Amino acid sequence: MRVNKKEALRYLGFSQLEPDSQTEAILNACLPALENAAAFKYTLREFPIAVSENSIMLNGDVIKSRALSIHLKTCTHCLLFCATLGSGVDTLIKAYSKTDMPACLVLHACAASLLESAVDNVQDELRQAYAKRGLCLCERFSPGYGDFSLSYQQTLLRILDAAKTIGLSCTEKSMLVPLKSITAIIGITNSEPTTNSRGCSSCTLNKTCLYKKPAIENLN
Amino acid sequence: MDFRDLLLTSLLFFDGAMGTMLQQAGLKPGEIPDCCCLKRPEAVRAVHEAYLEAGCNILKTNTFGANSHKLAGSGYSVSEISTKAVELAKEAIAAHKGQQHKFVAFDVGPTGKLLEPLGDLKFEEAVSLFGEAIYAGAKAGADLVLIETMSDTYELKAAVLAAKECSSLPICATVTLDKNERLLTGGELSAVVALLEGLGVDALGLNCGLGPLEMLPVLKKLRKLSSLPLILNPNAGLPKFENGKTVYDLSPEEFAALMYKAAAEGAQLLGGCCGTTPAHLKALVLACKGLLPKKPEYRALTVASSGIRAVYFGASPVLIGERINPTGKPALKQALLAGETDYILKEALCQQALGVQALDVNVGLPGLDEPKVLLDTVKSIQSVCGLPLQLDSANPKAFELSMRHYNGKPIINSINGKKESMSQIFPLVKKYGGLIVALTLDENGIPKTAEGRLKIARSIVETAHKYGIQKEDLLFDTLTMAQSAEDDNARVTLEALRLIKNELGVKTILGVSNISFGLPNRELLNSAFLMLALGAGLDAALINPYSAKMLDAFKSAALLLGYDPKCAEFIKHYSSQSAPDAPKQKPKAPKEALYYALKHGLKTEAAEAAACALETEAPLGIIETALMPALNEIGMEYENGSLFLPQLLLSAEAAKAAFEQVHKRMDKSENADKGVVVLATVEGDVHDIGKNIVKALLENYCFRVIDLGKDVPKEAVLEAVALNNARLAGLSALMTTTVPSMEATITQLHKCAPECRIMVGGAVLSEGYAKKIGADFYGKNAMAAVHYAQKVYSS
Repeated sequence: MRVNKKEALRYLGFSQLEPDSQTEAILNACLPALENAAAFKYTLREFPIAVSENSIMLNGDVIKSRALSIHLKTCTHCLLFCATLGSGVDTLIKAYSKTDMPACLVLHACAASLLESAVDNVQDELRQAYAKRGLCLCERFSPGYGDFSLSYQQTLLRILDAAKTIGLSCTEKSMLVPLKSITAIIGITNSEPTTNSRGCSSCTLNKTCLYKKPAIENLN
Repeated sequence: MDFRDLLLTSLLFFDGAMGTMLQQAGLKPGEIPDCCCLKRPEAVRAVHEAYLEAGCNILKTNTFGANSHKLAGSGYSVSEISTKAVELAKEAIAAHKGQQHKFVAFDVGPTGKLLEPLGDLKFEEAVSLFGEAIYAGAKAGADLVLIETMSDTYELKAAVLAAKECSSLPICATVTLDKNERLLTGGELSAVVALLEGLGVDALGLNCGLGPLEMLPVLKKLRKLSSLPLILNPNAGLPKFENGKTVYDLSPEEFAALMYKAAAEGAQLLGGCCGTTPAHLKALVLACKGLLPKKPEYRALTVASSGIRAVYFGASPVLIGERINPTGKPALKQALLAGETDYILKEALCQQALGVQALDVNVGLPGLDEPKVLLDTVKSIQSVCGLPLQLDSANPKAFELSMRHYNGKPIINSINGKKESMSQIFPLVKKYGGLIVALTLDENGIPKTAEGRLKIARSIVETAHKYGIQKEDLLFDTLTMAQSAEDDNARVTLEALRLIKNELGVKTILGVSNISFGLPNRELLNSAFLMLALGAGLDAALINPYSAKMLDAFKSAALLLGYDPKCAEFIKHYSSQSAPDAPKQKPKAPKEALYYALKHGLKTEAAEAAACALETEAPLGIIETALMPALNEIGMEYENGSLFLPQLLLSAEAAKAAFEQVHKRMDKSENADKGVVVLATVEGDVHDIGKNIVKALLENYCFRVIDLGKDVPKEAVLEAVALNNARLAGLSALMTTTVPSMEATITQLHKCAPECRIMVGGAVLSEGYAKKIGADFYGKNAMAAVHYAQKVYSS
């Protein structure tokens, strides 16, 4: 499992520019510790869903979100998915926050990028597996996107039994712990998936965001 | 027959999966299986009956999730489900005609929440959650408690303590490992065994996560680490994802064949977890028919642990860092009195980086509430550092509190041969587990002879035994005395060390620094004494790892005594040390050099340049004419986008190094302090990177930052503002769900401390949103926060 350095640098603000040599040196120095501390784990499960205008019905639970409904409008099933880098990364980042803030910041960015690429890899494998059955997967959609409330973290984690299977739970205020973790719903459809709703171009902050990807990468 | 007696003689069979069986009977994913005890008791009883029919001895009650956190909103109470669950298992046993021994294990699974410091569940809350269920289960007549599927040593400890406090039943405990043979929270197998044996459970082992094939090699390791009967409750293979579902695909015969091997390798209690069925268990019982258990062997290990790893004493000598002790360290004293944990954490992490294997923690200072401060210090060190800790105190109350909350099996420093000392500490060790440093002195003082010290050691071993504490849980300290006081001192200490080791077969520890008291060139003497002590067989040394001479002495002695196979460590350490770099081309004038160093984030150079500038200019002058202008310029470059955040923080670190030099030269009357800022990540929020960045920069600009950390209740913010007369508080929140906490904190602050301005920041906030919730200022980045702080304190 490797960190995508380019993505990590983008999180640090170097989206269009070359990083300075020191930042790059810190990044290279941090990577072994991070890759050693990270224990990527995920779990998932498929469910039939019923999509209506403002909500979806899944495993007997109703999830109210217009954005999610639009995203899943052609789907009959979905995958509930969650993943984490584990608590070792949290401890590492916290230790660095006491001794070396620049490295701590860089570690944050590297961990975020590591998680994203690990999840992307899993998703690619799933996409191929489902393609064999003539099915397409939508992009993942997580609590916190649009009007899909963070309070659904609890619901998703409960259905997946995530605390037991991968050690992922959430706090009273619906924060995932360990911190570098993801939960998501991935729609399954037998028609073309809805337009990409993950890229920068579809985001409401796309005019002002500091972390926006350069236009060329943003095409996908 | 009694369960504990049977453990001495027999193979015993746990049942298999409950959840899998209930799902086959229609339970949905995410639905709480425990509620079936009351909703569909016949289904639960049928599962029990099927496992008894398969020949199992121990039924696990359907109470894996029976705690008030998981049952919230289910409409059922923990005690009614727990009671009913035990009744159902007992009914099944009463109705069953089979001849095997039959027991009801009250099943305890994890809370489903992550404990502090990783999550937000408090340790004592976890103990109560577990205790409530275990109390009900024991009262309803369970024969033993099975704590299972634990993936965090801290939660495991909470559950075992609850079982000890709410029942007197035998305790079995099993953990779940991943493919790397670690807990989900990173703990190693050795740490789990050290903790559980320290707490005195009756049997331990593994369940869930892996199949029997993957558990076999772990079982072999467990056998070497543990003296207890071992439990193996694997899944029916590794989970596979097929057609949208998780499946386990070992057949009953395959499962039984592998489990037979496990029994032959020393697993004494065998059963199954996810995916196993009565058919699997029937095949297992049949396969093991007539097989006698391979009984556990006493391993006689001397061990301490953290939540991550264990340290063994007796093989190569163990180094323990002694720096967290206020005696003779004014900066640490100051940090303890002011409650500045960061300073202590840095000390912990720096010692760890130098290679010590455990840390001594002493916070004894007049005027401090030692039990509370030791507890807080231990908890915060454990949140960043995986080394086992040596709790160092003379206060039994301090020991009790921190032993209870310590994650792992701590080292207790110390007891001695006095009756009072032993009677206070041994019961605590029996309850919480611990490795005890025992000083060879008693009511009559320190014996002058080695034989005298041996006599005390012998009496300590005997008394410990009466409390049920083995001699392996004692580390003897034969007491280092100042050589300047008596010519025989070093010789007697070393002779006592040899004698006690040989006569009693125990492990030893020494603090070495005392030897040189009152003499010149102390480091030289300390390192020589360390080498002699290691030569005499010392097992653990308490040293100052910042002393290169001590580390050199240790590494050399370890090599010469044969503890460094093929001299590998020594070669690795010393061949990589290259000659210092040639001096680089640097700007000549000190202030220019300082600016250059800050701009390029060069810490050492910044400190040097500051020291140099201080030779000709006053400290305050340097701050105003060199440091501040340089920082301002760098800040501007960051704001206009030509520098990025990592570079800004590098400059901040360099500036900090320069400030340290400047502060050293300042008189008490001089003060560069620009004012106090209280910072906090609001209650419920656990993301603190933004707040930490703001803190680093504010400190650069000479603001005194009171950092309250993350998940901070509004009361704590109010208290800190009032206590420090702060005119500015900064609050951060990352998620929409915690903005209401921010708003509540602001409202309260405006009400109770109207003179205090409030700035806010965080990913979900905006200028408009910040206004709406009543903040005085929204900082879009860390520099904006600095500018606002300057504005507040200049008005």
